[in-house]
Amino acid sequence: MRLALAVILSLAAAGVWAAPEAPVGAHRGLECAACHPGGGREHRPCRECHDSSANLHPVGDAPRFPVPEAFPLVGGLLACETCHRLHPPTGIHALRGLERPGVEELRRFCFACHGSALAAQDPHRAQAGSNRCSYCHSSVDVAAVLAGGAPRTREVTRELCEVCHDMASRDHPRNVDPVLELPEGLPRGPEGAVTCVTCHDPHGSSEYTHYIREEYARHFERNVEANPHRDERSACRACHVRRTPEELTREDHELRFQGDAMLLCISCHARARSHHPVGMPLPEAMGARLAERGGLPLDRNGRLVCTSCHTNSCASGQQRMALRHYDPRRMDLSLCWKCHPKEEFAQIDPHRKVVDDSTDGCVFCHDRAPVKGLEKAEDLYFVSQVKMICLRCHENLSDSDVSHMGKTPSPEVVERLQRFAAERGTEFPLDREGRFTCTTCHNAHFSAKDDRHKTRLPTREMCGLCHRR
Amino acid sequence: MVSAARVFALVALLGLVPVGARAGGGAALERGRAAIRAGDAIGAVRAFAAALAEAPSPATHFLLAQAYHGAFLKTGLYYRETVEAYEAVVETLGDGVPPGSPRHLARLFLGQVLLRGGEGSRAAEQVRAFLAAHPGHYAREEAWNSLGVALYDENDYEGAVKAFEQALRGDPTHGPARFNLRSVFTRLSLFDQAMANRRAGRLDLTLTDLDQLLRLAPRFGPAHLQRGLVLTELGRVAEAEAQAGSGLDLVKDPRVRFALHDLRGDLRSRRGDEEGALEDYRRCLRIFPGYVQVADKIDGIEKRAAEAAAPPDPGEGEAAPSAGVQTPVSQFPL
Repeated sequence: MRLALAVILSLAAAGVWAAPEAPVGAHRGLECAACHPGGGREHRPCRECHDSSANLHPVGDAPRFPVPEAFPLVGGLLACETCHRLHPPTGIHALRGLERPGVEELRRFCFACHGSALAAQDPHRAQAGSNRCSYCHSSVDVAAVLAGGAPRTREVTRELCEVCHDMASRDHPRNVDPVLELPEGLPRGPEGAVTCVTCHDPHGSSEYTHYIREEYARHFERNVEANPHRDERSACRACHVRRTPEELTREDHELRFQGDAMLLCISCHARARSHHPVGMPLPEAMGARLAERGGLPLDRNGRLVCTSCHTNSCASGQQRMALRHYDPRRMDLSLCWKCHPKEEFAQIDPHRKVVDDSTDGCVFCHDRAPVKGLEKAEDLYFVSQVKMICLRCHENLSDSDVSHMGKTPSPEVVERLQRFAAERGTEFPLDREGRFTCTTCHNAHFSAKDDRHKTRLPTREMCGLCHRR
Repeated sequence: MVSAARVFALVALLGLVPVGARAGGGAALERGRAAIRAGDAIGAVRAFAAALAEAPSPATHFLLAQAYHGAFLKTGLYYRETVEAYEAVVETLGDGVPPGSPRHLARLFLGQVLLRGGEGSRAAEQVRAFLAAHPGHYAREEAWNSLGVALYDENDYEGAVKAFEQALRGDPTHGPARFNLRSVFTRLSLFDQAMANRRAGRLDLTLTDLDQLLRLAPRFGPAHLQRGLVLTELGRVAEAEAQAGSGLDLVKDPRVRFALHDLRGDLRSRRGDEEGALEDYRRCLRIFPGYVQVADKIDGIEKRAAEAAAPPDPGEGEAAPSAGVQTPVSQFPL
C-alpha cells in the first residue's frame, strides 16, 4: 500500500499522473485537442488564435530582468506560457500566480520581474519619452507618425488600462451616468463598445481632470442645463431614467446615476461642497431617534443623502425645492432635531471655551483645532455650512435676522465692506455664494463679555456699514 | 485644451511671423508660416529652427516653441524639445517685453505642456508665475483652470478647489472649471464622509473611507493625517507611527507635514524613543518656529534627559510647575 502511494505521489510530482483541470476563463469549454492535437503536453502556438497585436508583452526575447522560477521560459526565451496558464490555478486573463497574497493587483504581478520601479514608468506621461508609445500602440513607426499617420492601437484597451488602474476596487465608474447618451464622435471599441478611451484621452489633458476628453465633458455640461426644480414636463428627465411624468409612479421612479441621489445632486451643484455630512448611515443613537420621530427618508442602503432633508416636492405635482419640516420664515430647526439631540447642543457654549484659552471648543465648528500661526480661518474646514452651525443653537431668529440671511449684497456694499475691512484690519466674510451669512456681521471668537451680539464692530457702527442714514 | 490647430492659429493670427521676419531669417520664417497654414507641424519646426539658427531672436524662439508645441499635441512626440523651447522664451521675459506681447503666454503654455508631461508641480509653478505677472490677462480663466488641474494631479484638493473657483469667478459659465470642480467635490465627499464617521465615533468606518480615498489619492495629506490620528485613537500606535511616516514621504503641504511630525513625535515619545521624538519636534519648529506647544515638548524631553543624567539630589522637593506659556487663543489668526 505504501509503495503504491509512493508511486502515485512520484507520478503526480513528475506531472504525468494527473491531467490538469479543465481550462477556465475565456478558454472554458475547449476540448483538450483544441490546443493539444497530439494528446501530450505539447500545444499549438497561441498566435494561431491570438493576433500578436493583442499581446501586451514581447515574446521570443531573452528576458532583461531575472525571472522567478514560477514563470517558465521556453528555451531560455519569454513565451506566452511564461506569464499565462490556462488551467487552474490561474488568475484573471489566465495569468499565473495572481491568487497569491500580495499580488492582488495586476501591476503587482508585473513587479515580479520588473520590480516596483515599473510603477514610475507611466505611459501617459510625455516626459517618459517615445518608448512609452509601445505600451498602447502595437506598431510605432515614428517616421509614419511624423508624416501624419496614426499608430496602430492594440485592441485590448480595458486590459491595457487594468494593468495599472484597478477599476474593480475603485468602484469605477462611480460618478458616471450610464443613461447619458454619448456623442457620436467619441472613439469606440470593437463593435461600438464604450471603452476607457471613449471618455478618457490617454495622452493627457491640461484642461480636464482624469484626462477626460473635451467632447465628453462638453456633452456632460450641456446635459446639466435641464432644471428639475421647476414645474414643467421636461423637468423629470433631469433626474429620472424615465423621462416623462406618465412613465413615473410613486413606486417606480428610478433615478439616474444608478439611483445614487448624492451623485445626481452633485452633477449640477458642482460649486457646493456638502454643508452636511452625507453618504453614510446614521450613527446608532441618531438612527434610533429618527426611527422614533420619522419623516426623513434614507436611501436604499440606509445612508443619509441630500434628499433626506431636501425634497423636490414631486409628489405634489408642482416641482420646487424645499426643506422637509423646515419653516424658512423663522429658521426653525425641527428638521435637525429629527436626528440631533437639541438638549446636548444647548449644553455646549463653544464661544465660552474659546475665551477660556482652550482649543476644545474649536471642534464644535471646525473639523480640528488650528495649527496656530500656520493656518488662517479660510484654511480650516467647517463641520458644516456656517449658517447651519450657528442655527444649531440660535434657531427661531427674529424677523430682522431672517431678513438679512442669504441676501446677496450689491456691488457697492461689497466694495464698502472690503474697504472698511482693510481700514479696520478685520473682515466681513460672505458665504461661498457671495451672500450674507451669520459670520458676516458676527465673530464667534469674540469674548462674550465684549459684546452681547458678538458683532465684528460695535453694533451701531456695524449696521451703519450697509444701512446709510 | 490648447489644440495643435489653436496653437497654429495663434501664431498666424497674432502676426508673429512678420515680427520674427523683421528680426531676420525671412525666407525660413516664410516657409514656417506656409507649413503652419498647411498643418505641417514638423515642417514648421524645421523652418523655424533654421530661422533661429540664421538670426536668433526672442520672437523666433517663441515661434519655434509654438511649432514644437503643435507637433507635440499632434504626435505625442517632441515633449522635451517643447519644454526646452518654452523655457528659452521664459528666460527672455522681463521688463523689455511689451505688456501686450503674446510671448507672455509662454509661461502658461509651458505650464500646460508640463501638465501633460506629468510634471504637475512644475506646471503649477509656471502657471502661478503667469497669473502673478498677469492677473488681468484675457486667458486668466484658462490659466486658473490649468492650475487647478495641476494641483488636483498633485492631490492638493483644497488648492484645486480655490483655483477652479477663481476660474468660475471670472467666468461663471467656464465649462471645464465646473466639470473639474465636480471631480474634486466627488473625491472630497469621501473625505467628508470619513470625517462624519469620525465625529460619530465610528472609527472602523472612518478607516475604510480613508483607505479608499488614499487608494485614489495617495498624496492627499489630510487623509494621511486623519488616518494616523484615528489609528492612534484606536490604540494601534505602531500602525499610526508608520502611517505618519508614509504620509511624510508623500505629502508636501507644510501644514500637514507639521501635524504629521507632531503626531509622530508624540508616538515616538510615548514608546520611549525620545531621540526620535526630538527629531520630529525640531522638524516641526523648522516649519513653524514660533509654535510654543512643540517647544514645550522639546523642553520637557531635554529636562527629563538632564534629570536622568544628574546625580540624585537628596534635598530636592516637589518639582515646580512648568513655566511654559501657552499661546493665547485670542492670538490665533482667525
